Amino acid sequence: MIDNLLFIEAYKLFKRSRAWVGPVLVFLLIIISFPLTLDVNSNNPPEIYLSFIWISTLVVVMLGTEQIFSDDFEDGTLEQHVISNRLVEVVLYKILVHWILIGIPLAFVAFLFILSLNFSFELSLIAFISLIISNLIFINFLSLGNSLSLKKGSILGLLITIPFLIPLLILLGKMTSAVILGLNFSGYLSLLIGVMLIVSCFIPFIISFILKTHLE
Amino acid sequence: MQFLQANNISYKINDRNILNNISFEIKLGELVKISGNNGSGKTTLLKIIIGLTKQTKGTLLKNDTEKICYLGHKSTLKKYLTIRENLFIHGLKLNSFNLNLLEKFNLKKHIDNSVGTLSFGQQKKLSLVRIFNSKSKVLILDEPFIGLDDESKEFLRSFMESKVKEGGTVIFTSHIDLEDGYREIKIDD
Repeated sequence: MIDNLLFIEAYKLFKRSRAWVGPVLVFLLIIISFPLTLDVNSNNPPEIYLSFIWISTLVVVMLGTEQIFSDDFEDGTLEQHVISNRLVEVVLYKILVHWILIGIPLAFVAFLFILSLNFSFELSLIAFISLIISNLIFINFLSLGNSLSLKKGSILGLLITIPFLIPLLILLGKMTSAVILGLNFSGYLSLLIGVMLIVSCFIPFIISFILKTHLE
Repeated sequence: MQFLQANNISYKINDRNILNNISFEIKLGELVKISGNNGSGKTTLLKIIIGLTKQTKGTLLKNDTEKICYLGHKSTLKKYLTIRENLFIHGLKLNSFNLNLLEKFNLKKHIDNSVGTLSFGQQKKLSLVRIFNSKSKVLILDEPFIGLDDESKEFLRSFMESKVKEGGTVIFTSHIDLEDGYREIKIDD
């Protein structure tokens, strides 16, 4: 039964290819065009590229999660999940599926991009891992934002939730600096994993509570 | 055996009274029609019964052991998916029962067309396929006859009656006088 619902959520998103292929393509276009805007002769530090990747990932994930609940809300599917007491599971699966189809491909594309810039493999790998983790955190928070503004357009909820992601971006920046300077970055990575676990455990419950309120 | 008992149920939103002191009881194995004009609060009452909305006043005692199957105003259909795919995501197999239903509703030839291309009536029929497959003993249907042709209305009516004969409970809303002889709970504006 659990696998069935997860599979259905994956199937629904997969069939809405614009919702997941679109953001990945947008991300690809952004990261291809970014180096073209910089002076090729200047020696740009990797921090610039990585900060740019994180910000663009955030924006693209925002695009990808825009309709995470609206479709099911409008056609009455969410009502059915409330009646069957499976709303929290569904929220969890939706987040997971968006992470698999949008979050992980974005991290992979970013990894290839960083490798192509001739930065060290270690830095590229750390960036890849941190993007996989941070994308799950982004998707959780942005889904929360979308659930808040379900009936009012996506901007309001995002304005409320994006400030919560600023500390995460600072943490990612600190971790990158530590990797570049050859310092121990495991503390930052552990903190990132901790945030991911806490966020992934609690946010689905908060979202399902907000969705129920919308359905009343 | 009683399915639910409502005592002086009221519902108020933004200083507007939707429901005012409504009391009734429904036994298991009954076929009940909730009738009233548009905006009289029929859907709100159904939402209170299924637990989606909480009444602002009054008590509702419900036998929670019975699994409820609910058909609301919204179809739960995905317009970007085909009929076949919609059946799949609702956990319905393309067995002979469902193929016969699709044939009866004249939907079989559209099975690989996206639901977005179907008319309102066709979408309504498709959303009813989920109800016809339901194993739940309690069916709660919000305006199920709207958008259906006479033949489909008759089919739905006989399905509801057979469900009740098997010991099930059916509660549905209607704003049209159907003269069907079903027990009626009238909601006044």
